[in-house]
Order: sequence, then C-alpha cells, then structure tokens
Amino acid sequence: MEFFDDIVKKTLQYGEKLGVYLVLRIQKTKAKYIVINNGETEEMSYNEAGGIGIQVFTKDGGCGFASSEKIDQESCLQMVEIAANIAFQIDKRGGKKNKEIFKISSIKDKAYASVKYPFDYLKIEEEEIQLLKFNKEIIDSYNCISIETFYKFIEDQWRIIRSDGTDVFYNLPRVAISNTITAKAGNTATTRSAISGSDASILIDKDKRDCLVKRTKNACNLAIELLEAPTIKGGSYKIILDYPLAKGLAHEAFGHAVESDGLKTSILGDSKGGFNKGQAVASSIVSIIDESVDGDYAYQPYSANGVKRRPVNIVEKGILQEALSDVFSASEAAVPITGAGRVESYRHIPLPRMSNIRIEVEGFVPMEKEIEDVTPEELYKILLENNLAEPHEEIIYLVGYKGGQVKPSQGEFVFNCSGIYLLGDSCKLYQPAIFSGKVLSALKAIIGALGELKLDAQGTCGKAGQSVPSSGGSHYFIVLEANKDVIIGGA
Amino acid sequence: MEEYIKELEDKIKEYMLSNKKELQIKGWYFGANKNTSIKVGMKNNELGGVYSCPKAEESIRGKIYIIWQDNRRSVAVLQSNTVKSFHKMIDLWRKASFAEAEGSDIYIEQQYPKVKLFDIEVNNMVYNNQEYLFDLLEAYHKELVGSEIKNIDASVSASTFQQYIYNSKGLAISNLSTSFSTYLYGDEIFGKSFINRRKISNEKKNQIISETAMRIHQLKNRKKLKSGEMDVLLLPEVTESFISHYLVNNLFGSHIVNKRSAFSQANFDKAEEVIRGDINLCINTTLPYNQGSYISTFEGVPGGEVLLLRNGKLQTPILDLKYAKKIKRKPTPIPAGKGSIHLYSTVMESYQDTISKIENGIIVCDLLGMHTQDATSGNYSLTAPNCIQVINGQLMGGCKAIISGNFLNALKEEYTKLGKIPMEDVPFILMKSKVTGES
Repeated sequence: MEFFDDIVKKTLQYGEKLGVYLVLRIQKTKAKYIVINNGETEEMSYNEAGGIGIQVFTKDGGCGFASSEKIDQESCLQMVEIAANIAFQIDKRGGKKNKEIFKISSIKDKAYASVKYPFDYLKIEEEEIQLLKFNKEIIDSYNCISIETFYKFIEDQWRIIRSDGTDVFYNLPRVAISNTITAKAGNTATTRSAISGSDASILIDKDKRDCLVKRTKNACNLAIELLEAPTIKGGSYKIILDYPLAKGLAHEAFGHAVESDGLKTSILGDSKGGFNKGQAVASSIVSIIDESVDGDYAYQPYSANGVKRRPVNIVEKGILQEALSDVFSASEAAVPITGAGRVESYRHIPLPRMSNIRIEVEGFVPMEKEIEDVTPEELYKILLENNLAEPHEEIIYLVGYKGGQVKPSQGEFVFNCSGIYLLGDSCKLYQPAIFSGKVLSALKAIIGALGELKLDAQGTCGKAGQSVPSSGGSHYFIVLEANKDVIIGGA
Repeated sequence: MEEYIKELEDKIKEYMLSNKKELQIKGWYFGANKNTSIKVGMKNNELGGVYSCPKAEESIRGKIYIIWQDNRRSVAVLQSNTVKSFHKMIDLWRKASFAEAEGSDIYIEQQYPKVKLFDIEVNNMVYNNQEYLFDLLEAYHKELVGSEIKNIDASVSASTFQQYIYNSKGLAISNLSTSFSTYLYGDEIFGKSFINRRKISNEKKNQIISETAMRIHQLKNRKKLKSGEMDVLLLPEVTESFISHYLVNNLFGSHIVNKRSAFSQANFDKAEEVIRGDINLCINTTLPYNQGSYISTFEGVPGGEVLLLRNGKLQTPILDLKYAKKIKRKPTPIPAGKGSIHLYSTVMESYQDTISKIENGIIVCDLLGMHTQDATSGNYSLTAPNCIQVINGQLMGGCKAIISGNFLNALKEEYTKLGKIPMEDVPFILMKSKVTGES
C-alpha cells in the first residue's frame, strides 16, 4: 500500500488547491471462495480487487463522495474534482453540513491482525480437498440430507489518509465455513452450521475441525427431527437462548439502537439525536459490550475514518452507558467518539456499526461440557438444579441463529432460530418460529446464564445497503423470563 | 470501454494458442458492464449530510467463465484493472480452477431479442444535468413534511451502463442501458420505492407521495389486535418478498438438483400441480424499460418469457447452462432484478372490493425477518410491525402483528385471492393466516 505514496501526496495537494478537506480510503482485497454441494465442487474462485473512495468536505462542511476502481493519478484527481463539485452543490443548496472531521487529531499507525496461517499458507486446491473431505464425511453419515458447504477467505488491506496528515494502515483477514443442510422426506427442513475466524486454522487445527463436524452433525440431526415436528402455539414463554441467538438479541435489540447516526429516530435516543445515557434498560446482572477482537471474524482495529476503535460498554449492570459512535455523529449525540465507523468497501460511506458484541451476565452457572455436547434434557436438568426453572414450568429452548432484523425507531426487533424445544424430562421439538420483541423489554427479561462466554457466533450485518462482517455471543445459554413484549410467533 | 473489451478479448485469445500449455483456454464467455452513476440522498429532512451525501461512481464489473484445455473450469470477477494485470490473474484463475464433470458448454443462439433498456433523460442526469435529482428530493420534502409527517428519508439515483457479452463462439452483444431508482420513507413507518430503466413519471411520483402520506396517516392511529386466524392482505411490496423467497428460491435448478428445494426433478417431469390451478408464474426479461429486462444472460442465453408455473403446474426450473445440461432441459432466462418475475391469476380481484369484503383482518405494510425463513418448508413466521386493522371493510388503524402459516399451502387454498392495485406491477394477495397480536 506504500506503493501509492506519490498518488496520495498529489491527490491531497489537489484537494488543498481546490480548498477542500479529503478523506481517502484505499482498499485492496484478495478472496478465495469454494462451494461444495453434496460431495462435489460446485464452484471455486480466486479474485483480487480494489479501489479508492474519496470523501470531500468544503470549509463550510458540505460533503461529497466519489469512488473509482482505478488507483492512478488521473483517476484520483478526477474523483476529487467530482466529489468537490458535489460538496459545493450541497453548500449552495443549503444541505446538511458537518465540520466534525476538522476537530479530531491526526494519527499515523499500522495495525495488522495476528494470524497463525496467512492467506497464502494453503493453496486453494488444498482448501478444496479439506472441504470435500468434510462435506463427504457429513453426506455419508446420513441418507436424507443434502449439504452445501460455503468457504470464504478474504483479506482486505486498508489505508486511510486524511488531509490533516492521518495515515493509517490495517488489514481485515476473515474466514468462514457455513453449511446449509436440507433434510427431505415428504416434508422439507433447512438448518445451518458455521465456524469462523481470521485464518485457515478452522480447516487445519483438529479442535476447530472437530468442532465444525460436531456442530454440523447436530444441525443435520435437528433438520431430520424437524421433518416431523409440529408447530408451536404463538405467545410469551420463558425462553432459553443459545449463544448465537443471544448474539442476535444483543445485535438486533441493542447494538443497532445505540448507533450514533440513528439516535434521532431510535428508541434509545431523543428527537435531537441525543443519547439516553443512564436509562435503566436491563436487570442489574446484565452488561453488553462491543469490542473488536484480534483473530475474530469481525476484527476492526481502526474505523474507516482513521480513528482507533475502542471497546464500548453499551450497557453496564443494566444501565445504558455508551453509544457506538463515529466522528460525524458523536457530537450531535453528545457522546465520545468510539471509532465505530465501518464500511463494506471503498465504494461506500462509513457508518457507525458493531464489531463483536456480547452479553455478559453476572453470577452465571458454570458448565462442564462444551455447548455442542449439551442435550436439551441435560440443559433442563441444570436449569432445575440451579433454580432457574421450576418443575412443570413451561420453558422453551431456541437453538440455531438464522438471522434477524430491527426497526430502532419503533423499538421492534426480530430474529429466527432453527428449532424450538419445549423443555422437560423428555423434550419435544417444534418448528422454528420468529422471536420478536421490544428493545426495552427484552433485556429486562434476562434472569440468568449458563456456561462460559463464547464469542464466535458469526454473521453479516446489513445496514443502509452495506454488508459488513459481524460476530459476538454470550454465555452458552441465557435465560429470559416470560414477558408480554417478547413473543414467539408460532409457525 | 470498447478498448477494454477489445484488449480483454485479445488477451483471452492469446491463451487459446497451444504454446500456453496448461494455461491454454478451450472456450470462454464473459459479461462486463461499465457503470457510471450518481446518487443523492436526504436524511431526517436534510439534503446530503455525511451519511447520505451525493455520490458519484464509475466502475467496470463483470464475470468471466473459462474452460481450459483439460476441461477444468474457472470463474472470476472482472474489474477495471483486470486487463492490465491479465497475465498474473490468468495464472491465479488457473490455480483456482475446478473439475466439473457436467460443466456447461459455450452457448450461442441464432437470435437475440431487441429490448428497450436506454432512456436518454436518465443518461443526461448522469452526464449533464443533475437538477432533477435534487428537485425530486425537494418535492418529496415539500409535499410530505409539515402536517402529520415530521420526518422523511429519501434517495434518488441515476445510472448508465455499457454492457458487453462476448464468447468464444462469436457472440458479441453490446448495448447501452440506464437505471433510475428512488425511495421515500416517512417517519420510519412506511415507504415506497421505484426502480426502472426510465425516469419516474409524474403520475408514479405522485402515487408514491400520496400513498406514503395515506399509509402513514392510517398507521399512526394505533390499535390493539386480538390474536387468531384472520384475513391477511399483503401489499405488493410484501407480496413480492413472499414470491421471491418462497416461490422463486424453490424454482432454481441448482436448488432442485442439489435437493435444496421444496420441489424435485420428478415433480417437474410430472408437471405436478403445486399451487392453485388459476395461478401462473413467469419470468419475462424483455418488457420495455423494466429494471429486470435484458438482451442476454452473461452465459449467452437470450432474454425472453418463460412460464415456470402454468395453471398451478410446474413447467420448468430456472436453469442456467450448467443445470440445464444436468437435467437435460433448455436453459431459461434468469430473474435479474425487479420486474422480471410475474405472478398472476386468471381471476384478479379489485383492491377496493377485496377490502370491503374483509370482516376481520389486517393489511400488511412491511415485514421484518423474511431472510430468516426456511423457504424449502414454505413455513413463515414473520413480524409485521406496521399493519392496518380492517373490520367489516373499514380501516381501523395501525397495529403490530406476527403472522404465521405456510405460504405454499396458502397458494393452494380456494380462499386465497390475487388482485391488482392501480399503477402497481405486483399483485396483492389476500390469504388466511394465523395472527398473534400484541397483548
């Protein structure tokens, strides 16, 4: 990336000549994708791409943006000119202005993720062999399932330069293997399994491979059982969530609602864009933290505006404490800048986003087994032993996160699971159903947790047309008491 | 762009010579687009701003498929720098090649359709005069903000594409196309969008504004909803997401062959009736100025019209070259964006008549969580934060509901109705559904 020094220098000089402030975002990406379908390679590809995004601010705070795949002198100067013209148009038309970028300190830094196996450690054909072996092992173990295995290994290199002298380099390596499992025998049911990280250790290291096999076999067994499962009656229940679903709860119900660009219309903000710091939003045993973790799928050491990202205590012992903020909207929300700006690619404009979000519960019950080995019956027994459940109490256990969505303005969130168990001495499986609730009720319903923290629940977060990697988790299981505003939808 | 395409073709041909040894190419096809676009946004009533500032973009995007001499295959992305770094990239593409026993062949047809895809007015917005883009946002603001609506978010964009589809059998399609899109969202409750290859008409613009105002008015007076089975009317935008998720997803050849669909190859061979006999589903990718229209897929399959479900019976899966070959059927056009899939019944109801006949029901204006649903089972369990309660044909006010049922089964029910709303391409659907209201 140092290769672009001369282009960067001349582009900044041109910005100065036009009287505008620049933020340059240079991205270089290499990516390997492999898809295996039922024991055969469906598709495999290797791609390299990149480009530059140029955000321009006039002295009055008007903003314009232009992007190009070509990182050459001619193209960069042309993009500066286009973006500057747009920004001056905004000034002329009385559009919204923002001068916050002028107030922050400059920084020079390099932040590279520590990875055990670099991007090129395995050749793509070696990765294909490993994935074929895994996929065949699963398909050979069952006779009524099909499985699609999707592998992606992406490494983004970023360089963020600002007119104030800021020059930050960082890389974002990420890997995921996800499986879509479909059982078919008259009826049809689909479940998923996944493992993620920052390097090929998920293919190479035995403990991670074994974990993936275990998760995938659990998902296959669940899909087969779902073929005969009835639908559950909609309504409010006492609920146990596994940690990927708890990540979904933290992410959808809370994370999005505290992003500083949306506080004006969020249930956790006010009409002026301020943040409701100090509001009691959960029981006092609950905390929510967002933190970029080295080695994680959603690692993000610096924001796409060149500001160091720091951990954010969103909720501390039940009280709303901090927002996820970036340089542009922190001031309006009257919160400190946390460096939360993330971007899908150089073609996009950064927005405040989560990285790895987790729910921590004080006084959790430790567990001996790995979560993948805990059966619903064992879970029920542990709940009874620890007074988190009463005998004959109606409790449902939701397994397997299948994505979610939120409407912060109305305080509504949803996410879906792969299956629902009605817990008891003998547990009964039901079809998945939407888990829906009010942001301000959901966290208050948490009354306990079981198991250590597990933070590798991986996903993709969509916002304003941009997708970025997300991750997070909680203790193995969290327990929510029945609440009228937290509803299982029936199926 | 012509220069880029010529250079790309020349470089590919260089690798068709035998002196390239294991890098020798036997056949190839590619599709490439040069896109120039401009987008302007409004957030919280204010034009521009950091998060929705006007954006200009120029890019070359495409996809190339290579059949090597030893019959291995490669698929790769094309972008502006590909030609410059071609010799390096082709080596990497070869390393990422894969064996495909029943891989597709290079395809060409005698004739390709003429499709209207270019609008000079949109092209002018991209290259000459962006006033209209700003004016449209100002019109949204002027018409809506003030009385009952406090806040709008909106955007508008115009794009021009130079499209090229070439292959080693001599296919060489090049054409210009445009795209115009806009959305309007009021008080974070209700919004409408529009996308077409032509500029929005005044009539459509006015419909978007008036419907947004009307729905927000209807939704703001909140009511409690009792749970139970009731009539559920899906507005066109909601219907579209149901069709796409539960019907189209189950009709892709790759899903059927790989047993990840509600339907099997045998179901198609027997032309089984899977939805009610008066309902049809087709792909049409040649309608003038539709966003989902095109001349050819990047594989060289001509755009056109094909019935996927005729009189409720399965006709053909959606087939690219690979899966057409696998199941020994003709390849079909592939849905490509809004307006290429059409669901209709021989009996289409009117919206007003349908509403007047609802004794107890809801109109679903938006949904959360469609992407989390299992399309293969047909089951749905979805939160609809903004519905309008209907009692004895009267619109009572806004409510939240969770709807659940099985969409594929609903399309078999006699009770289910399809109908048209003026100026909407997608129908509404009325069906019975389990509904959980807020207690």
